[in-house]
Amino acid sequence: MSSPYAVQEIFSQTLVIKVVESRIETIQRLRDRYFNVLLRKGNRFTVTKVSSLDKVSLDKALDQLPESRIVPTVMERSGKFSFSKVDKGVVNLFEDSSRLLPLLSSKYPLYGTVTATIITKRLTTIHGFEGEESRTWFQGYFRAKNGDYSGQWAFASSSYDERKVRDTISRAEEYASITGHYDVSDGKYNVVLSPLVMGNLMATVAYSASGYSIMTGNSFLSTRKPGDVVASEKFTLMDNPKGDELNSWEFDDEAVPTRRTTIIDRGVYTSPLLNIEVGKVLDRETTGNAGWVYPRPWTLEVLPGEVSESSLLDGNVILFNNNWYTRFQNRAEGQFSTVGRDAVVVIKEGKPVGVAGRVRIADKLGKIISGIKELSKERYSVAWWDAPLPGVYPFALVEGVNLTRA
Amino acid sequence: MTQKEDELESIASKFPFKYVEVRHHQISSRVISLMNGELLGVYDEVEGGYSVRYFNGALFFASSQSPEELNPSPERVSGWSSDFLDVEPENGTYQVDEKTPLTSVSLEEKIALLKDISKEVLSQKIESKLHNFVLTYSESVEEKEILINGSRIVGRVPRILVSYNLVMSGNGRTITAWHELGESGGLETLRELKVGAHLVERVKALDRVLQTGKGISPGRRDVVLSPILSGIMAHESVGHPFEADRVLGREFAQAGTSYLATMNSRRLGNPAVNVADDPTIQNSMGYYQIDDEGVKARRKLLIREGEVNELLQNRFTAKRNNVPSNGSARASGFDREPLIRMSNTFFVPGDMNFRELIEDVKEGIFFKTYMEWNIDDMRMGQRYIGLEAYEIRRGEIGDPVLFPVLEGKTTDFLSAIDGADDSLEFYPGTCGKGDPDQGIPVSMGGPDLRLRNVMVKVI
Repeated sequence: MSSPYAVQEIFSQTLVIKVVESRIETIQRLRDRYFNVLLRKGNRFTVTKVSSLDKVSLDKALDQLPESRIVPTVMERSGKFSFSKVDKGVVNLFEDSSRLLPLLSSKYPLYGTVTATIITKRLTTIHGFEGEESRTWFQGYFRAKNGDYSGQWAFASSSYDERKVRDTISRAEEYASITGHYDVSDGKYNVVLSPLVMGNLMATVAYSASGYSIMTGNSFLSTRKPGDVVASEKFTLMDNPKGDELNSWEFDDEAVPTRRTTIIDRGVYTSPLLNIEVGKVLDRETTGNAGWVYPRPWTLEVLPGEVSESSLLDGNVILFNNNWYTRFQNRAEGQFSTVGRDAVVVIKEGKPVGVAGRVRIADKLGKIISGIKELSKERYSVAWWDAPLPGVYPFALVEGVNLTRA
Repeated sequence: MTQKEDELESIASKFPFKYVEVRHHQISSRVISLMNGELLGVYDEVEGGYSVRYFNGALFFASSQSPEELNPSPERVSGWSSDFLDVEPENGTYQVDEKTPLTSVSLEEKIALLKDISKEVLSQKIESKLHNFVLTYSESVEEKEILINGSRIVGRVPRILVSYNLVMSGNGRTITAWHELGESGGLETLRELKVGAHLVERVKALDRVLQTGKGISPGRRDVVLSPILSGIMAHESVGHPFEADRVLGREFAQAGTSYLATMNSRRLGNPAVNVADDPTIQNSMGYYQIDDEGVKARRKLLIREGEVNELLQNRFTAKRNNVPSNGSARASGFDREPLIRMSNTFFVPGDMNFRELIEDVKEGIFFKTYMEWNIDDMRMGQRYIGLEAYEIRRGEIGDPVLFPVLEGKTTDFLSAIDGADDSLEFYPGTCGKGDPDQGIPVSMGGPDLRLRNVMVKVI
């Protein structure tokens, strides 16, 4: 074999500042360069990840391998492509982050991280495509602790923005200031999901829309077809790597130009997320979401609603500020549970009456998105430790959500 | 001095601080995946590089594949970690042997073996429909060389991990099942894991659940947990909250806090409860003899006879807590800081056999496998849902039951345990913590456990 079928190079520099009890705990500087090398001959292929191309044997005996069921396929596209959106403020932070450190304080003990990333992705293919793209990311999340109570918020940005750091801390403080215990028993409730919770749950919807999940039966969308109503008409979810959100890219791992893909349009299932090869299996065109073999979302967007976020809290609802540990009991049916974290606030007649604590949402994903009654006009770009896929989300009022408590 | 030793010394010389760890860490792996008996893909990976962690008023960490890119950070801060336990680092070497080297069998032969296993599974005569079966084999070798204030630690651990995903339907129900088997060692491990027999038994059992499983009504009853369930409980409900950094708040914004941060009593459960974490178990996934801070590893008894006995410590938490470090610091890769991690966490077996454990259970449920678990961030409220579960009637295992839910508090469950049998099984897991996130290999396990009069819900 003379040359690889495709080579992807990723070079990233990451700065992570970790705060514990309002003090700096660690400052980490990570530099990482690696190559994903795809060798292919007919329907036989291997993928090798290495830090240096000279460690890859191009003479791998592909002939000895059995044919693969699904074979990564790059687009027949040639020529050079270059894109760069690099923010100087983020780049400067790598030299010395000292100017940011005084901002990381709160009236409550504060915990969290701020992360800055400079990332360059290159892709060369056997068809002569040579793509290069550079981006900067600036993101953070903070958890403010007020005795037994806490609040969390997060931000995600492609440029250095101290205002976002301050606003995020302030919002975490605001939620942490809600106190008083209020018992909630197992049952169905109207809940308001914050953008942090939406970020966590919508990532699971998007991964359920990956053609691989659908093909293997590990998705509540496996038995549905585009055109089926799967959610509330208020709800539109898209994968949008063409904007300014984190993890936006111009080309995918198969040299296909990325695009905005509407997964669910006003409640109607519109499209799975596909690469070329899984698209073939499902008899559809790629959506520019490769992943070799495994299509995946880039960065998500839920369209806004028409009401203010404060009006969603007017009635009798339970507000979930945050959640974690989402696990599926049954991916085919979308049956899952996730645990409330931080300010799970019981609101009666528009007023907070207490914090329910670590109650669990135990329901079906399809039922959650079908139960959406309203979405807020305001949206927030978020990503955090347990919702790492970036996205922009409104608050969502969901009717009849099953809650349990341990 | 070898070239690697020379490089580590050279890096260390750039960091004139009181505590400096320099590490070269590499994980080489191969993953082979099959779907319904056909090859899905072969993925090889070598991920390695250098890192430095040092203490200079706060903790600083830098990593790169190029030693020359590692330099002291410009920031000067007074950190949350204000001091560390300055004990002499150990010198030493540890490794797990490959009796049958991973490289002794060709890629083609490994694929053929996995195809044979898949064929056997797919040819089982069952009433339910097996829609999809993904079988993934992974072999890896983790190698690290660490230099800490002049002391040198060298470790090498090969591992085998087999995971599978099944989608089956029957009787109007669909289930998805996922599980892992694995140990450290060479290819002899693959034989010992008896993957084919395990899968055949699993598929038949799930078929029986789908075809004959019956619903239950919610209520209080006795419950027996298999080692798969006792293992996840040992890991999630005891191991994690016993990480001293979590108790002190270092993970508050990430993997969360611990019930021990606010609890005044040392008593957590019944005196029948003993839970240990032991990195020195040969052929375990979480095996090591010296931790990544140069502290000798040992078995830790986290809960002794129902009471808090000791936490998992590193040099920094040990100093804060005024106790010795018990060697619990590990990093998942070259570009990750060492954190307090579990190794192999388990309920300590008792002295009765399984028959004796269930003989006086009049009406109960035996949870053999689970479909889902999760736990709140203080490690108190948890939920396990049985996938393969059976009724227990008058001391006998009976028919399968459909998807019982065990949801309750750690302290309630630990108090309800009144017996453990004399078996001990371990299962592999990948444990997450830290930012950037670190998935690290661990084992979790235990005997069969009996819990008295606990609430069982339904989905």
